[in-house]
Formats: sequence, C-alpha cells, structure tokens
Amino acid sequence: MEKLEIKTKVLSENQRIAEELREKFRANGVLVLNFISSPGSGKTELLERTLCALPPTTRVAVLTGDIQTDNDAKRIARAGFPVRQITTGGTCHLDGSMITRGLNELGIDLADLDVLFIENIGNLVCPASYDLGEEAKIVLLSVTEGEDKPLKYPSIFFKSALFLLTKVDLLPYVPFDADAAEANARLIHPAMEIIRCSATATGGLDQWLGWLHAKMKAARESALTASHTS
Amino acid sequence: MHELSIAQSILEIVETEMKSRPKARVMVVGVRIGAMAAVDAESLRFGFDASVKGTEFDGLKLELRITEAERQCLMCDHRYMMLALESNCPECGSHDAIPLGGDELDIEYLEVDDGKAGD
Ligand SMILES: Nc1nc2c(ncn2[C@@H]2O[C@H](COP(=O)(O)OP(=O)(O)OP(=O)(O)O)[C@@H](O)[C@H]2O)c(=O)[nH]1
Ligand SMILES: [Mg+2]
Ligand SMILES: [Zn+2]
Repeated sequence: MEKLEIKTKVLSENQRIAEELREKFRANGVLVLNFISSPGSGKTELLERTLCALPPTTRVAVLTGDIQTDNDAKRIARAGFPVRQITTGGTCHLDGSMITRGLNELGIDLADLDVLFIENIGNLVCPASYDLGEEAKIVLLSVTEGEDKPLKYPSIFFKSALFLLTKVDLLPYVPFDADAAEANARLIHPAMEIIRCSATATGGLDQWLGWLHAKMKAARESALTASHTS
Repeated sequence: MHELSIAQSILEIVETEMKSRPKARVMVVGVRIGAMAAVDAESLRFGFDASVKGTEFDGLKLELRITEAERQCLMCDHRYMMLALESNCPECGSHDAIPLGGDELDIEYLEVDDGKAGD
C-alpha cells in the first residue's frame, strides 16, 4: 500500500468557478451579495423593499434560488428589475455553475450592472460551503427564531461579513433577546458587522441601505482604480 | 443535506487522481473537515458509502480528520484553538480575535494498492 499526499480542496471545482466569477464582478465594479438564512427569515421581503428604495438609476439584477417554485422571482419582478429564478430541483444550496447559468439567462452585460443580489436557498447550513464569487455573504436571522442560532449554525456566521437581524418590529411581541443574539454571533465572529432591521417599519431599513450604498461605492471605486493602474 | 454532493465531489477528485495510475486500486481516501466547514461527518460518511456502492469504488474507505478552528487574539497575538464556541483568549481573556482557519474541506491523502506482486 502506498500513501499519496494530495492536498486538494474537495470543492476546488466550485472554487475555480467562483474565483472566475469574482474576478469578472470586480473588474466590472459589480457589487455581488449572497443572502443566506433559514426559510422565512425575510430574504425576499428585504430584497423587494431594498429594490424599491434604490435610486431609479441603479442598475441592479437579482438571482433567486428556490428548490421548487418561482414565487420569489415573481415577487421581486414586481419591482421592475431583471430577475431570474434558479430552481435547483432538490439541491439545498446554490453553487458557482448555477450562477454562471443564471447570469447567461439574465442576458445582462456585467458592464451594465452596479449590483447583483443573490437570494440563496432557505437553509443555514449547506449554502455556507459554496462560494458564489460574491463580495460578501450576508446572514439573516429573524427575531421569531432563537437567539442561539449563531451557536447552532456557527459556520454561516463565521463566513458572513454582515449579520442582519430582521423583523425587529416584532421585538415587543416575541421573547427574543437581541443583545444575546448579537453576543452569540460575536463569539463566533468577533469582527462581524451587525445591523438590526425591519422591512415593514418606517425607516427600518435605513441603516442597511447605508451599508449597501457604502459597499456599492467601494466596488465602483476599486474597479476604477484597477482599470487606471492596469 | 449537501453531504451527498460533497461525497460526489470527493469521488470526482479521486477519479481524476487515479487516471494517472490505471493499474492501481484506491483503498482509502483521507479528508479533513474544519469545525466551521458546515459539513456533518456522519452525514458525509452515509452519503459517501451510498455513493460508492456498486461502483468501481465499492469498498473505498473514507477516513475523516476533524480539526478545530484556530484564532489569533487581537489584544495579545496569542494563537489558540476555538475548542468551545464560547472560548476567549486563554492568555488575556479577550474576545477580539481573527480566524486563522476552520472552514477547511480538503482531501489530504489517498492510500493505493499498486498491485505489484510481492509487495
Ligand atoms: N413583521 C415583519 N414581517 C416580515 C419582515 N420581513 C419579512 N416578513 C414576513 O416574513 C415572511 C417570510 O418572508 P420572506 O421574505 O418570504 O422570507 P424568505 O427568507 O425569502 O423565505 P424563503 O425564500 O422561503 O427562504 C413573509 O410573510 C414576510 O412578509 C419584517 O421585517 N417584519
Ligand atoms: Mg424567499
Ligand atoms: Zn489574548
């Protein structure tokens, strides 16, 4: 018997596709965000409201993953922006090749885009393993879930840049300890950014929209710098 | 349950690696799973055994090594393993730390029987 040391990432093929996508997104100054949560934490609602709140000149597209239906795409399409549903037919996560396909189906030139939102499948575990070429993963947790979720699903909190605590308009009605939820997330990921938001309360998305605008600006500027220096 | 897709990705890599050794038979594949990799060892074993059954890899053994996430303290630079989720720096007690890893999912080795007589 001979032992061969090989040291290969199991998901190296997905990683290769994701790096390729990331390079293209960055070169074109497209901010790509990958939204991950349990089913029903409010991903689609947040996207619908965010799309309506963006300046009308923003060039934005959405890819939304679902195991079976295209309901989420229909909801988002009402905002009038290009959207494509990726139906995985059973798979519990999106992967890089699905994003490549989704982009082809959208038929948009990346040079004509400022932001791409990706709504992942409602699942806190599996999407954590698959890089989609995004600039940042964003994990959503609603106040109707448990504040110990970050400890139960550490991987996604470990890998996400931003934690959106959603549905905070319901805080008066549910026994949810928001400070404990944040403290738990910081145990896993001390430098994590955390924003409390509500898609339904007036002004409930302001802080999130501020974060988004800052990231869009940064993506645009770094693409400009890169094109000037190369 | 993405462990089935992961099992299949492992087998694809094994298959590619073995192309250059058509006479050899692979007996063991060693995989490292970081504590933050979002991969459940038991589900992976289950998915792996189901995936090899009845294929050319029937009987291939999966050896798993689970490794803890490592962190570096931002206050005192001490490096430590995040053994419990609640762990803070054992030197200075600070919570502020940057991750040094933890989401690894790597094939580390293969054990192959190269079929040479007298081995
Ligand atoms: N009160 C309140 N309800 C919300 C908020 N955000 C979302 N909801 C409601 O929560 C339910 C689920 O929201 P969705 O946006 O469909 O959740 P999702 O994460 O897209 O769900 P999946 O795509 O199935 O994983 C809907 O009935 C929303 O109207 C919020 O900020 N406050
Ligand atoms: Mg949805
Ligand atoms: Zn320390």
